[in-house]
Amino acid sequence: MEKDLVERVLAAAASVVGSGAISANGHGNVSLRVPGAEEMYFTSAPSLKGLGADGIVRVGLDGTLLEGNLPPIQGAVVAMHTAMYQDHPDVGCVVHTHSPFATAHAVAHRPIDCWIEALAMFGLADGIPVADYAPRGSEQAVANIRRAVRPGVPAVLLANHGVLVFHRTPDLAVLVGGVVEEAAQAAINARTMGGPVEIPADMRVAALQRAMAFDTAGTKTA
Amino acid sequence: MPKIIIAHKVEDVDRWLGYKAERAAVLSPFGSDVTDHVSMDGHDDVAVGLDVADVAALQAAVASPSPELAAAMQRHGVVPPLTFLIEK
Repeated sequence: MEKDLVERVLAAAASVVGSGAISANGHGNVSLRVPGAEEMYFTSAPSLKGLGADGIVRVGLDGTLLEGNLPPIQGAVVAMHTAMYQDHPDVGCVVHTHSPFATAHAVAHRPIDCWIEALAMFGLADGIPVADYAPRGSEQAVANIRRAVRPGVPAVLLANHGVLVFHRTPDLAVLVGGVVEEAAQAAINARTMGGPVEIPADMRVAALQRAMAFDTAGTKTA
Repeated sequence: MPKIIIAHKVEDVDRWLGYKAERAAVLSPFGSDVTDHVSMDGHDDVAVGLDVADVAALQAAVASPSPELAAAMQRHGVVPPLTFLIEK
């Protein structure tokens, strides 16, 4: 395996852990597309916490293990990663976690709407859908994910399971995973006060416009 | 202000057109009079025109997009590479 790619997967996994958008046991997996090849590097350990180079495997996008040791529990979810690379040529990283608040929505089969402005700023202005349940990584589960995923929306909740995020780069995938978890947590808290309220469509555009204006102005120093 | 055309392919022209207001919002810090153009023969080629105050800043932003810009590009179905054309 290429050392550089292994290190990038390890860095992405550490970034997921660092983001806090992960369950206490660290269950989840991260994969990176191998540029120019029909392959991905995939985390094969049960937890993303304390992951080492021996916890990375190389897998073909047809699901064939090419290098490394892939335990059954991780092997079972390979197909939901490969499906995202097959369906979305622009996707370079897939992250799957059981981040607690987003998974609570997944368990309740409740989509996440645009309740916080970060969703509008980072490509999730139309919310995050829920893919129907089927046993993890099964043909039916992957078909359900494919049916639920909306064009251009880089995340989907997996009913009774967790969250799947897929984006161009690891940084963006981790960022989106964090935003999804933040929105889910805020909504659950808001339900004690009458429930979350969606941001109106024109204000979602306004939030993005303001974010871009500050982006373009750059960091100010005094 | 020079008029710039940014040409590229998209995953789906109708989807891309659906984000007209959002695209104008995303590009508003770089310039004004944002206009969308699509291929007349139904191809997946599109172009965005706008009057740009700082061309270098726009090129730099697209070359190394912020998370917000990268997310918008994915959402709108922008397919790299992007070609910049300037009015002469």
